[in-house]
Amino acid sequence: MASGLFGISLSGLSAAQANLSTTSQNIANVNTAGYHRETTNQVNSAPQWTSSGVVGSGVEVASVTRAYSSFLENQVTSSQTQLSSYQTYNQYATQLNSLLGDQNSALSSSLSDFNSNLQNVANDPTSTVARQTLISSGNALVGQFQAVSSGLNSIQQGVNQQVQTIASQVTSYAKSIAALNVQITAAQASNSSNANTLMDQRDELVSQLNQLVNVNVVNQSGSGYNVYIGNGQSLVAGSQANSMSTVENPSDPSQLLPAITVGNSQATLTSAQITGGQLGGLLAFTDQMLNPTQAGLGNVANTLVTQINSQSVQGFDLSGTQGTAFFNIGQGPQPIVASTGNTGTGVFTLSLTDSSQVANESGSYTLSFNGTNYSLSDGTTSYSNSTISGLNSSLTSAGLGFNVNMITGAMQSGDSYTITPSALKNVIPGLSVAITNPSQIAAAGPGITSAYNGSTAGVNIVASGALPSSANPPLTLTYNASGTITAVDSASPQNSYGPFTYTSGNPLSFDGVSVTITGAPANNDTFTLSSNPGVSAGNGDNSNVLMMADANNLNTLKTAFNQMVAQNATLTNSATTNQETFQTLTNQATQAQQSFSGVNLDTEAANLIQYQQAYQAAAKSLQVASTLFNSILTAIQ
Amino acid sequence: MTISSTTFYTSSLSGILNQQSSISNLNQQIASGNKLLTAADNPVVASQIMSLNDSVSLSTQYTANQQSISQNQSEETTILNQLQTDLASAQQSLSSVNASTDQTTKNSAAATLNGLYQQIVDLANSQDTNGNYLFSGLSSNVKPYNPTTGVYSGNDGTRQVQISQGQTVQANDSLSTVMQVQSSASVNGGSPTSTLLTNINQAIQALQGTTTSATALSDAYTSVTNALSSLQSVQSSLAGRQQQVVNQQSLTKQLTATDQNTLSNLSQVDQASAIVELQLRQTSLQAAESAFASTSKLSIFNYL
Repeated sequence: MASGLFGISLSGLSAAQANLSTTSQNIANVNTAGYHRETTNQVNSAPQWTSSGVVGSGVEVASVTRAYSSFLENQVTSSQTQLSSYQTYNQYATQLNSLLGDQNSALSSSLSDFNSNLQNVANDPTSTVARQTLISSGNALVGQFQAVSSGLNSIQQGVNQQVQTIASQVTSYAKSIAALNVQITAAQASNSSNANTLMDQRDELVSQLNQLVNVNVVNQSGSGYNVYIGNGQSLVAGSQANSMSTVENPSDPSQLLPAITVGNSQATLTSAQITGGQLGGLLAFTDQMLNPTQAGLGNVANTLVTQINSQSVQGFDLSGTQGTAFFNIGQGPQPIVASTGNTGTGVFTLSLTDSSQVANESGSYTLSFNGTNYSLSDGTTSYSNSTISGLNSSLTSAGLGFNVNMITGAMQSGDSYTITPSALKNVIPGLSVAITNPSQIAAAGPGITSAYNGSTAGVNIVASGALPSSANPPLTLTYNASGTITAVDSASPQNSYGPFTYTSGNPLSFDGVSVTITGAPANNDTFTLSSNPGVSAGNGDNSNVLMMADANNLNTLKTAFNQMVAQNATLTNSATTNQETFQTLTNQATQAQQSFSGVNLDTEAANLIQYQQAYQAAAKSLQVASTLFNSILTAIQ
Repeated sequence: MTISSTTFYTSSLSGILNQQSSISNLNQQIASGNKLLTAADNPVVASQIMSLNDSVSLSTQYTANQQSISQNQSEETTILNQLQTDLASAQQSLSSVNASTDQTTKNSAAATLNGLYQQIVDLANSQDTNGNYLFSGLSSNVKPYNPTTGVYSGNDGTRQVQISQGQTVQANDSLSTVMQVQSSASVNGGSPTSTLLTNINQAIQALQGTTTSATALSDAYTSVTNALSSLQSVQSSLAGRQQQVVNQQSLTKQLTATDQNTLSNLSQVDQASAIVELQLRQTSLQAAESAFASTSKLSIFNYL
């Protein structure tokens, strides 16, 4: 403790020096990330009692503290963690949207092209050029599906890689924070060294960590920061750091999820637990956009293939041979598989009512028909209704995320299908065009078989052509004694043709069918026209390819695809809005935090002058002390 | 409020960067002419654009289908008109002779009828530019009428062409009523045969012979007369379908125009207002830059 004029002056000098150092330190660190402005706290030294009263004994530097407000710091980190979450989300969302082509999608125009080329074959069914073009556009369509699908896969790989990098960064931050906890605790205990720099470093690490993954920090006196992640899993507890690693998603092994290992137990973290930071953005993107898009795109491809193939096999090619599948499906699990024992002809596709729900389903369902009711069961819960649309209503209200559509044929009692939504992702990679020879395209429909159901001798019927595509065969022709013939669609009696005037031997033509009846049938005698599945109607027939080109088929695909693009656009749009909001919040919070903790060079310049002058004044008082001392020395000489 | 020196730089910079990114967006909009750079810019409008695009591409295909069928229909009209002329000539030739006409006239009528027979067969066996037989029903690679025997090898199936989402139109006609094809069941020998061709052939034979059968001539006359009236109904059915296609063509054209108009309103940028906004942004950017440049010079250190 200084005393006397010399002592007081010296204490003033060293206090001014300390202040100047702190100011210089502030100026030097003006651009240092995580630096908090420091202040030298000086106190009046304890006064001394003298005979002439209480006299001051100078100044001492009590401490150097940093301008730190945990409230302001929390404001910054909590908005920053959301900001980096939305930034990451948007970065991948933009990639995904441009891959799908936004509102001008190449895949969508490939679908239109393919349909146009089906129509062109229908316009001129014997044209090899039109047929060849159809095969080419089929290949182009498959190529487009596969390009988008492999693009989605590389996005998935990018996400996986980033999850891995983040996991190892989180682990390393956790270790550093734990190490700093130890050092800071020691420094504070010793009371001799200044822990400000270490605390700045630790806070900066927490801030960086928060940009990777949202964490909760509890400052426990005596042991430092405890950092919690997810549902309260401990990442750092004092000097103890736990590690983050990645594990395969059990419902989709191609996807990596973060996991935290505490002691011997490992906890997998999902998007429900990780809601912030880059990791939160990645998990949300995967759940909300990537997986639903993969499932949705797979479903569009699967629907297309099912529509075209199921129609193709019913037709006949240019040489009159029964049609074969237009598209090859790949190896591996398929989303809808008919049981081998099925006796019915039902062909099913799925429509996704909630693709993010479907994308998360790992199990299988069994669709069956017992002659009365259609049922869908996952082994524990069963939904049942007498109609498919009724069944779909209960699937929708149960939140299953998909509906089943029977696009052709009918189920027989005992038929069943296995539906595996997770296999939708596997459809596209194995896809290819099966038909290589243009003449193999099954443009023609089946011919007609005719039968006379009456008993009058000499009555005969001959029919040619193809049954109308609008008809639901068989057709029943009824002779009326007034001399007319009327044709009625047996399954849908509202579809009728005629009445035609009957003349023996004169051909009756309607909607692609030509019928010649000879003889004198009795009143109400009937004839039946049914399609002859073994025989082609003729190479000029286009009835089968016309069914393939059905605009409703195309609309189903386009609607599903457009909904997917629109859904992604909406998600991206709201993520962009959120990003902007959190950018503003982060800016405001950072400004407030910087206003309190940041360095203002003008302030420091003023301080510099202030302390410089204090130093000069203290030096002056030292000079006065020295002069006084000299006066005494001179006086006693 | 104290502004930290870092905040001064970062906030000035972020203001300038925001202006720059708006300018870049506007530049892209002006250069591409598209209001929406990505679907996420406005999901609702993007989804309208997608469905309009789909509707336009379908209409384009229907327009192509309509053109293709309308071309076929004009070809067919020409053929049927020629057939009508030939049948009328045959009718005239047949009415100009009878069993007692002198041999020279009969020979000349036979020669005329022979020529017309060939033409009628040729017309009934017409092929389109791709080599498909027009009147063989769905067996378009099969020549429908045998030129000598009149045996019919086609069928009477018809092909439909889609001309709008809910509308198909019959793309080919059968001449079996005109050619009076008798089905196999009513013909001895089993093959369906053209009565018209058989009758004309028999009339030619009769006219060339020394004794002419009056029945052969009158049968042929009746056949040709019936053929003309059947042809008329084929022609009027074709004309009806032509009208249907023409109507649909103009409807499709209007719909496409409306769709495209809406599409361009939704998707295309209004250049004038975009350029005005660009100017505005440029002015703000300049202002922000000059504000930064002048305020960043201010520091007490300059006076120390």
